[in-house]
Amino acid sequence: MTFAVRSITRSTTGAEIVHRPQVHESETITVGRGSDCEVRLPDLAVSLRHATLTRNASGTVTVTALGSEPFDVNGQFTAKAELKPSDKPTLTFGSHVLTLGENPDDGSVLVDVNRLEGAPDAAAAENERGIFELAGAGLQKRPVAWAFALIALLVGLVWPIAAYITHANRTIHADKQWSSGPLSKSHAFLNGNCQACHVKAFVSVRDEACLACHQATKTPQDAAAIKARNHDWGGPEKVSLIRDHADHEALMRAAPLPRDPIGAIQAIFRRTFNRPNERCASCHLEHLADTPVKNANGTPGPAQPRETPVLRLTNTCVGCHDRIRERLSGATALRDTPDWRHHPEFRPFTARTPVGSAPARLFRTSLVEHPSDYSGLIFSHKAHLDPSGGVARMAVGLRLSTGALACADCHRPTKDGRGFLPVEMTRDCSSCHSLAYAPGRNLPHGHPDKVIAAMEAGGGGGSHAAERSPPNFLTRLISSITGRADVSPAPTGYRALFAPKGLCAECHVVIAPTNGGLDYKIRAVNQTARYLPWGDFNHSIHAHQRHPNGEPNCAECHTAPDSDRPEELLLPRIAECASCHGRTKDKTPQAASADCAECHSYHAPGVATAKPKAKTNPGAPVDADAKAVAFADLPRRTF
Amino acid sequence: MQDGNYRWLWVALALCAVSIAAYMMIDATPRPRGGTMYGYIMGTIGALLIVWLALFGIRKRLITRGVYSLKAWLSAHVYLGLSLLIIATLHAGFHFGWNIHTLAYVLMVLVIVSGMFGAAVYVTLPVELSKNRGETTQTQWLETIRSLDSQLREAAQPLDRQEADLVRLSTENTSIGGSFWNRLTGNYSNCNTLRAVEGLERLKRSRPANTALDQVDSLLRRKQETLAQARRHIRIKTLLELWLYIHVPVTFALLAALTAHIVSVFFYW
Repeated sequence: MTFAVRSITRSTTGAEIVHRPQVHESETITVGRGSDCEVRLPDLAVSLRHATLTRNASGTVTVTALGSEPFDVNGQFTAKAELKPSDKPTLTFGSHVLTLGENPDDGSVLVDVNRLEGAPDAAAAENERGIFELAGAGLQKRPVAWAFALIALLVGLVWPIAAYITHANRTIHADKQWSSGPLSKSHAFLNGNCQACHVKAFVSVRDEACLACHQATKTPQDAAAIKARNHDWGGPEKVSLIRDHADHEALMRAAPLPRDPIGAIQAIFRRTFNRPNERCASCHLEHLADTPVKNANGTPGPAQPRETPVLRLTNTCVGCHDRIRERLSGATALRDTPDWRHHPEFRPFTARTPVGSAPARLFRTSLVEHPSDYSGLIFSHKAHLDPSGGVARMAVGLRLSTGALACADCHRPTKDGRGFLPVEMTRDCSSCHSLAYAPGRNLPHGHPDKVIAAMEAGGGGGSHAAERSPPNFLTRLISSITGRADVSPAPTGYRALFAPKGLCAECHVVIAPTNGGLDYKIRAVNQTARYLPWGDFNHSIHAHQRHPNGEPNCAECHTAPDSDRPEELLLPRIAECASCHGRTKDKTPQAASADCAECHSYHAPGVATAKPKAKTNPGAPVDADAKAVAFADLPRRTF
Repeated sequence: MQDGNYRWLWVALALCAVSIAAYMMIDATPRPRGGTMYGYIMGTIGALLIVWLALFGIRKRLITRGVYSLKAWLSAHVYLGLSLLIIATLHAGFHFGWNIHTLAYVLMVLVIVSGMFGAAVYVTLPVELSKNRGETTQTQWLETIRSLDSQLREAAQPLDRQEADLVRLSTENTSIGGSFWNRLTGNYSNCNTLRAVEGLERLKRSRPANTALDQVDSLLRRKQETLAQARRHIRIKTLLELWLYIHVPVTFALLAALTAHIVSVFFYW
């Protein structure tokens, strides 16, 4: 007996079933798929005649491949091998394993044939899901879904917040992806510096953030600090500096809830969520610079970055100023202004009492009370403007005018024409009220002490002065007062200057020294520079200064020709304004707007709101929404 | 989608109509955007809708009846999901940019478009599926293929090495579904059963008539037919499932981007 071939199978429970061996009395047996093989392996991976097993005299077995297909011996592919059955070598052919061994009973070679489990079966029932569903192609939803979500959260939220906490956003700009739109050109330098304005997380942009650059301040230290910060942030050299319309807390109290229910709900929401409508950023909207500027006719203009933030008015003037006293619990000097018709009467600054030697104290008094405005001067507008009076005759005589004096003969406009310069004696009065006491020599006006010194120096204080100078206005005056023709400017003459009806006393109240000396004083003169601190008036507007026929119309508002009292205030009542403003063209050809902005502006209530600049290019768009805001260095208003 | 006489279609249409009318009537300065009162309202509605629509992934696993049945829910999911396109666009005021806000919008559009594709294939493809399947089932195809494989193994026993190897290509190395690309295109030119058939065809020409080879050949051709039918089925099923592979992961990304959008808006308020 040479070879005993045993096939080993497994029961359903996994137990090995060893079948009765087939004995082959031959030195050589063949392994293959063919039906003539001694060891038949029904496996397509095995050749029809794959290999032979030959028993040698030494007891070893030589395995030889018959074709080009090798076989596997103890895990190694080979075409020929000599094996000792006592080593129990294993030979693998396709899915079958042959284990050689020695049969102790008769010394034959035992060949155990085992079929490997798990031969490939592509159509196995357990594969059904993998075969028919897309998951079988290796695609998976959940891991991808979670990965996507995680990436979006990390990049869109965690990264910028982490950079916010560590103040790294100015360098890595992780928060730029949060920007809802570009900043206007004026703020474009802040595009990578979100935290400049968005200071605190979950708190809407506060006024402090805006005022960090725009606060108008009077202390040089504050101004320097603002400039340094602006420089650090890369901002422009010039920044528009503003003052608040009023104290922030008072603003909040004065602003009413909108009357419409939707607006009211909106306002309540805004206040509840700490995003009130009374902030700088409520009106000046950023991140909208790519919104086309509107043309004058309301159609959108070409898309180009805006120069400044969009201006959206959140409150109207009368919205707050109607019943403002009630909302501020009366703690204000303001009057309620529900509309132009109910605009309170002007309350100009005036010197209500005669001026003393110290500068006048000014008080605001309503024109309803007919306040006086003591200037400290002795002056009659009526006398100066009377066409048949002495002044007119003198002016004709001096060839200063052809008739009565006009307003403009004494009142000189400022450079911009908006207002008038204070009247200066030497410039505006001395053509008639001459101060000359010698050829080319004038008394120094405004300095009583120097007047005497000048006269003493010029005339030696002696009697030769009259010889050196021809009779002039001064000497004529002194002689007319004293009744002496040969009068000279001696101490008695000086006194005559200051005496009642003397040169000075003609216009000024002279305070004579009590000790009999020459220490004369002149009562202080007050020319109120600005009567109406919170309203603007522009004299240069044509309708404000001329009749339609071109004649000056000063007397329309200022009743100077009839004014005989020096302390009479010549300001017009507001009704005078209303004769044009708020009227229609069919009622008056001079009709003008009654818009608050005509005389006021938000950030500087005492200055009219600047009109949009005249178009240099007629085709260029003008933002009809925006109204330029004028700024003025006015004192802060207090309630 | 026709549940309750198109109840949800009408609800969605009404929602859109009100949104559009309000958009036209409200004069936002200087332009409509998310930061106006209308914008906040539309944003809130949109965000709630997105969360509710996303919950469908959980809801679809629970089967109930009536007005709140899965069918009604699906109908609402489809129509309200479509209305979201209008609501979100009006919320944004037709304004887009390179930022997290527009990313959330784009992801939402992707989800909706993939959902529209899904709805379209669910309306048209099931007919194709049953037409192709006839009276057979997936399991039956597998059984047929398995049986053909075992018959092939038997029939190929007398074949020589070269021929047997070709048969093994079919029995051992044929992937029924194949790769994602095979499934999507229905192109299985790299199929090993096809290679086996072609290989045997070539061998047959150069060899004498062989009954076993003829039998194997006929078995292989039968297997090819079964494979072709199963693969048509797989292709249709792939189209039916494919959109979900965009719809679901992008929904997750959308939920995350939406969170980032909302938080960032209030973070830098």
